[in-house]
Amino acid sequence: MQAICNNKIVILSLLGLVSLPSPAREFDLLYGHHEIQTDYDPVDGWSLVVSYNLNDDFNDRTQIRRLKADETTLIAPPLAKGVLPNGFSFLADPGETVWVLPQGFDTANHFLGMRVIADAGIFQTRVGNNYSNIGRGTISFTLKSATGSGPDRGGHFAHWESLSLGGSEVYLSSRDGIDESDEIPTLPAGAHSHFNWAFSKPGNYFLEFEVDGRLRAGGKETSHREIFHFQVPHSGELAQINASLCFHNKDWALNLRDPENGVLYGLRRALVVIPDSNVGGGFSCPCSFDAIGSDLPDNVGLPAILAQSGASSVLTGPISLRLIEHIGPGEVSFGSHFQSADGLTDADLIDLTSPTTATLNFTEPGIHTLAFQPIDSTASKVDPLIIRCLAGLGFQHSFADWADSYERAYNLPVGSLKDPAGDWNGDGTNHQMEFLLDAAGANPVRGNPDMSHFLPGYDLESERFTFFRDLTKDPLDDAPPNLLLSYSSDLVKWKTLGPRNRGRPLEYAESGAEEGNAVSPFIRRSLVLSPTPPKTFFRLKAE
Amino acid sequence: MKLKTLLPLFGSLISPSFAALYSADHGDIGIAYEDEGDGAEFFLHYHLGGDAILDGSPVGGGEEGEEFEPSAITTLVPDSTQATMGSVAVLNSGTGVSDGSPIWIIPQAEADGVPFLGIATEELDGDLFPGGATFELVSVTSPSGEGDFSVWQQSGISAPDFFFSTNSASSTVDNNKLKMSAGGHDHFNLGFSEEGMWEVELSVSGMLNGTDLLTDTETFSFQVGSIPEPSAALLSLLGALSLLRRRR
Repeated sequence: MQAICNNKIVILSLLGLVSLPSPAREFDLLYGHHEIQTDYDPVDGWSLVVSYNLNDDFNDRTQIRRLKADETTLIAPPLAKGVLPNGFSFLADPGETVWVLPQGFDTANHFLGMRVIADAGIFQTRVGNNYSNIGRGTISFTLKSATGSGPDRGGHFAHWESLSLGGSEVYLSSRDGIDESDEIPTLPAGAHSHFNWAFSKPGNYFLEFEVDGRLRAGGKETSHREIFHFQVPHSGELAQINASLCFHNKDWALNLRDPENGVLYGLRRALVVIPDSNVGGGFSCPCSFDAIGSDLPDNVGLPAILAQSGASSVLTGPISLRLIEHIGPGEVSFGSHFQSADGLTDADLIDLTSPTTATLNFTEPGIHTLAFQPIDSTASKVDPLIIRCLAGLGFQHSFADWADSYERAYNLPVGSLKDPAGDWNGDGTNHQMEFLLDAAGANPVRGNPDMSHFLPGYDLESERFTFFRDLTKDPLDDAPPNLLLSYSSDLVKWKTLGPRNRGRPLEYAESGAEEGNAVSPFIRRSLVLSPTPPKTFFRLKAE
Repeated sequence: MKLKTLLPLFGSLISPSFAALYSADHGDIGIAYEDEGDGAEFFLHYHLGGDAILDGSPVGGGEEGEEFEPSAITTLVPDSTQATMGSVAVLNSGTGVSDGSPIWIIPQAEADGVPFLGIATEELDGDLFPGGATFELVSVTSPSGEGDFSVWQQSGISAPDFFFSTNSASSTVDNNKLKMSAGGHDHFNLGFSEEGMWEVELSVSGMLNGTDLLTDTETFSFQVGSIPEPSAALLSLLGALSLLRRRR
């Protein structure tokens, strides 16, 4: 349902009035102050977790909250991305794109520290390779392995401390191999220090760390290992269409391949950016469709089975794809297979008996949404399969570009959509919000279609409020527009999550709701509340 | 209410340097919003961890440590922190220290035998202070009157960000202001261009509920380099007598 609250247009989802079971404990964190925390207790032994302090007072051990390493993913947010200058050869070459979770606090990034919760006097203190019983005692922290699709495509991990007058104290680096030198030799009992954590390619990084120390009582060595998961988003930007129609267990998917980078994008997880062709006008790109599955290492927004199950291999009979709608200015054509200029009919069809390749052409610049319907012998009902393209627009286009595109697409008077606070179609969602939710399918003119999977709403399966973030439009920094998530139990007092109020994962926080084993800037998210209140209202605000 | 001690009575007789000497381990310059008897106010203070070394001994107070009035503490910037500045334009400008000249630095990273001094807003509730707090450098008194003080951070792959600089306010991110969100805590490099006793006056401001301006201003003392022997003994004695501890 939609409603107006505090003069802001909001989207609300009302839960039932009974208590709901707690959602699964899975945390995909995009920002916040967290720690890679080592606990050691003489009775309980080691644990190695992601942690935070409930009251933000890091002198207060009683308020620590712990997230299991195998239930937590730390995703590099947009502002982690940068171009490497000279002086960081332990990570990559100068000029390469890297992702850094920095040592210093940054609102739009992770602030990932290292913390040791162990009483003074348990461990011996290491100096070089000598140990003594002086001081509080220290542990060592070593990198044992770095695996996953990130390292598989040549990505490296590095961890270092920035020095006061420039330069780096490098502790962990996979670029030159991983050996005994990849260690932080001493972390004192009670330590809470911050370091830089960086990655050089998109994908998954499973980092296995070992902590070890020498006990004062008996001098025994003790150690523990744990694997932590970091994720660097894929770009979500494609220069051509390489589409694969898949089918599994009544579910259809029209996936977009990026074979060069080893990633497959599911529904709405990528944009095809098409420059001006400069050849007789129009905006053209190579385009191919097939019904063959894919076996790329990273799947964004879809499970592996739906990536691999090519429709032609799991269904009998002819399979084709019909273009049922084009939302965008001007016309679209794909060789002789479909063209919108004379209206879309049953004849606007791509036969997928074998792969079909041609040139996709748009006549006008703007945002273009192509909606397809699979045609096969099962005649099953299916939500439209969407491919989104930008013709002559940058990947990070502006609100003005968005407004202009939809005005031309629907032949509206110029300026109809230019006011971010306006609501041309009167559906209760303002233009600013619809701009932020464009990737989710929000339409400022026609009204929003029923696509509950993408538009904000309560997801019965996950038992969470879910929504779709477009990190190209809101990179989670403090600059407007921000897509802010709020909740309330009485519609009077609202708790808002955003760059300035980041929440706490075991109490209330934004977390993941994405399928697949990788992410892009177009990412399904959820609100985690624990314990789940009997009645909760949610809203998204654009500020 | 704030604890009263004899220190104000001695204020006209002794230098502010005769306070307890904070010489190692973790502590913060913190801001709190609390009612100590006169209504809720902003309080700039020191929050030293339980392992922080004060007058040669751990502060104690368990995990949480103790809080102190700024006038009760002198922070030591020991000889071991002395470095020689290189030729890096942004650092030379920000610190006011030229190539080849000495600089004493409380570092942003933890180091043995050195105060690990951060700046913290972790006692502020983000719901009450949605805009966080802004620290501002008000004045600096250096030993010679010609020294330069600076606060900067090296992080990630970026050039250093200067937040305070007596040499070049224009080199700082926001004209000698440091904005922090509520519930935060971060570490910086504090640079001093000469040995001796320094006084750094800081103010902090924040908007309660986004509307009501609160401020506080305090002076923080730093002893850079070695301590003169007679002062060291007296400092320790008087420091123990006059410690201004705040309730947590």
